[in-house]
Amino acid sequence: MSRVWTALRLGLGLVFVLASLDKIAHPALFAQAIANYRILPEALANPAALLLPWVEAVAGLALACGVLVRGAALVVAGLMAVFFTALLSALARGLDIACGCFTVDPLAAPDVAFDIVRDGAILVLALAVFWREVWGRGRPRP
Amino acid sequence: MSRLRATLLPALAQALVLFGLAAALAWLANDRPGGLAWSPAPEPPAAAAAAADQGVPDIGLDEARALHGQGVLFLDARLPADYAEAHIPGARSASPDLFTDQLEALLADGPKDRPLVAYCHDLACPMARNLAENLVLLGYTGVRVFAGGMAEWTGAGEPTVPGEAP
Repeated sequence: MSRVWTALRLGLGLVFVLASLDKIAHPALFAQAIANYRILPEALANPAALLLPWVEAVAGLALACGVLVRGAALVVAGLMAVFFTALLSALARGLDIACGCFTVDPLAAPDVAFDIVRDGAILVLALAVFWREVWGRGRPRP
Repeated sequence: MSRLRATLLPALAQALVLFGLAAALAWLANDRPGGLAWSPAPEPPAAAAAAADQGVPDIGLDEARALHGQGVLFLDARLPADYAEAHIPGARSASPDLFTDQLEALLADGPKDRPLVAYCHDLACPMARNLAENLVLLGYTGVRVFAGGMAEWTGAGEPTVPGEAP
């Protein structure tokens, strides 16, 4: 069973590292993707676009390598909750925008419903890993 | 409480370490020529006013309707996928990824002083104004921006048609 958990943790970490690469390479495009959500004030789009991908990369790498796992699990679960909420709010407001999740190509066809399903699945995985690595540590294990 | 202290506090401390590391890496990676500005300088109001004075007037829904009724050419400044989904009848797709010669080819069938109306998604979308300013620089003199864009057009119950750009 613990092998399954290790595989899940590794997979989740790699997903986060993969997702960070395109954003790290194209911060200006990612800033535009963030601005399109119309959630953050304009002045915060650039700082968010510069910081977020590195937080994803560092937390994903830590999770995959098994370093500072509790902190990484907390960060990853928190980020997924934020991303998922942002997508839901985009859907509710009828915004037809690109996710900015795995690619920041502005010409990619937007599909918010698909993004929500995919991010929902990753959120469930992140919560499971969080429960296992953080919350589960509070009780004695057999 | 003890459970919280035993589980969340160490996780929070570790998360802070990770954040610090990420911030340092982000700063290092961006500390190069051509990096993104951490806080973009807000456009000075004078420059914005000058841009608006460049001879690209905004028009509202009523005027857009009237011009459309007269057969004035509309230019859809959104991305091709949005144009294909629905656009104002008769509008041509002038998406931001067009090169200058493609844009000029799109308008080669009429004089440079004919009326043109550029539109985008809605008031917050900058692409119609960008397109209009480019057209002015290319020597087109009859350009206007329908600022309310598709949102105002469809909101007023005006017709749209689907279809890819030729």
